[in-house]
Amino acid sequence: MIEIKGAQLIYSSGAVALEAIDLTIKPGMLVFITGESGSGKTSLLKLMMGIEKPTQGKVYVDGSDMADLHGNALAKVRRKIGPVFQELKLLEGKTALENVIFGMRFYGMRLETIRKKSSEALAQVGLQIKADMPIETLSWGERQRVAIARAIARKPAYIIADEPTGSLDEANAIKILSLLAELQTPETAVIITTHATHLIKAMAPFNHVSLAGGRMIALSDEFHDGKQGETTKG
Amino acid sequence: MGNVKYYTGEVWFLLKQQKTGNAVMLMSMTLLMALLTLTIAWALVVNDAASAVRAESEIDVYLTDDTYDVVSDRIERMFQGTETRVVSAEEAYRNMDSILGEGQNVLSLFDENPLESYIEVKLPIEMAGETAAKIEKITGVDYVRDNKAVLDAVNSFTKLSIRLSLFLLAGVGMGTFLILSGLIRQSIHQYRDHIDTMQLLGAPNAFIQIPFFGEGIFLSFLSMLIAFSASAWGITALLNKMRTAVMWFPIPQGHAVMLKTAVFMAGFSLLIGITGSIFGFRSAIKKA
Repeated sequence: MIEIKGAQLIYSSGAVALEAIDLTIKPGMLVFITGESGSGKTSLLKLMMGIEKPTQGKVYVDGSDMADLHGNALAKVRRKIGPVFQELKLLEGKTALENVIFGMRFYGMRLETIRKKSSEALAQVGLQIKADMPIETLSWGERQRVAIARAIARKPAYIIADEPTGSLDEANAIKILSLLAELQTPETAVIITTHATHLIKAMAPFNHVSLAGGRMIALSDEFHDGKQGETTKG
Repeated sequence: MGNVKYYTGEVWFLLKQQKTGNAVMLMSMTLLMALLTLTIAWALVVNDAASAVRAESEIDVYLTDDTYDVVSDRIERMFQGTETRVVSAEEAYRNMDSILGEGQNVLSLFDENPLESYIEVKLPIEMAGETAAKIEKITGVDYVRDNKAVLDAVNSFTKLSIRLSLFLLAGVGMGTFLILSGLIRQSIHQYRDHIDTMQLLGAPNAFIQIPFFGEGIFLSFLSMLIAFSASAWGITALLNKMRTAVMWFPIPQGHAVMLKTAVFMAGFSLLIGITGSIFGFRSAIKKA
């Protein structure tokens, strides 16, 4: 469970990125975090991943206070998260399969097992046929699928995708959002940020957090009563 | 162990990433390592030779009469730790003949053996000066000769050589350390995105660091290997030549010196490889 309690994030430049954020994300949830550019969506994900520490308040991932974690302890918590970065962060010079494998090299599994899981993940995102192609020969949409495969191969408790529709046309954006939404299982929460609010309506049921100027301006009912629901506010 | 292939591949990848930079750094480190190989070999030769000379500490006691056994007994009783032996005039002649070597026919110019019998007193070097003075006062002793002045000179020379070697060791150590840590920092700078990604994916620190340490250790060890291979043959040949040319000076066997030098250089290169990489990695990560 990811718990954010009264979190505030002010960058060293003095810019207030987030203010008074209270949020609990439980396993099995599909959460969309929406808002305009600069509303604090990426900052919120950074808090969840321990990339930024809250200047006030607390962020807990499975009970661990992210502000207290460093080095290998932080790495251990991050291994529970399958991130899909906005800029993808795939490794040039390596194939699609190697990129997926790379995300699991340090899981202490046998290479054969990692390779099998990675191939399965690529198949799940429909890219098995391009497994051996160098990453730089793939289209942006395909690379995005590789990044998703890298995230899901790890069987994480949380899949966090930052603006996965950012560089895609509407048709491809819906495909990617649908793909991510399908990854939600009772054990896995999927958290997606997007500014394309109009695209997420078809993804129901989901939970919705709407941000503006670093503050939450709307929260779906489920966050209030603890039930899964498709109702959104705002 | 499952990741050994991965680490090896990553080290190879890092080495290929900056071929020219690595080649220049490797050359610089090789030159420094060659200087260190020479220094260590020299220090070992001096140290071994000095130990051998120190073990030769002796006083030769010449008598006015032939009461050698009596005086020998007295010396051994008076000075604990000494060992005496009577050297006859004939043995002294043979010894001198062997020291002078073939072709030196100085002794044959004499009709009779010009050398006298004497008592050879072996003793620890620190006892030499004081003991010689006391032996000289024993009844029947004509005069004594000791090699303390030579041994003192050898000691001073050894100390100076060792100090110079340590100074060079520190200089070379610092030089290779700085080159290596700079190289690792450069690698990390080039590989920054990759490291960030690994950290965000939850890679343990060791997983991230090992390829860089591998790169540092490999380059350090390789430079040592090249430097040692290039200089070992020459040093061994030179020492062996000196052993035959300067027979009176106890120069150790060339291969024995080089074996010790090899062990030292291997340990040194590993130490520099590890510490230089750790320092380079830590400082680069802190800076970022």
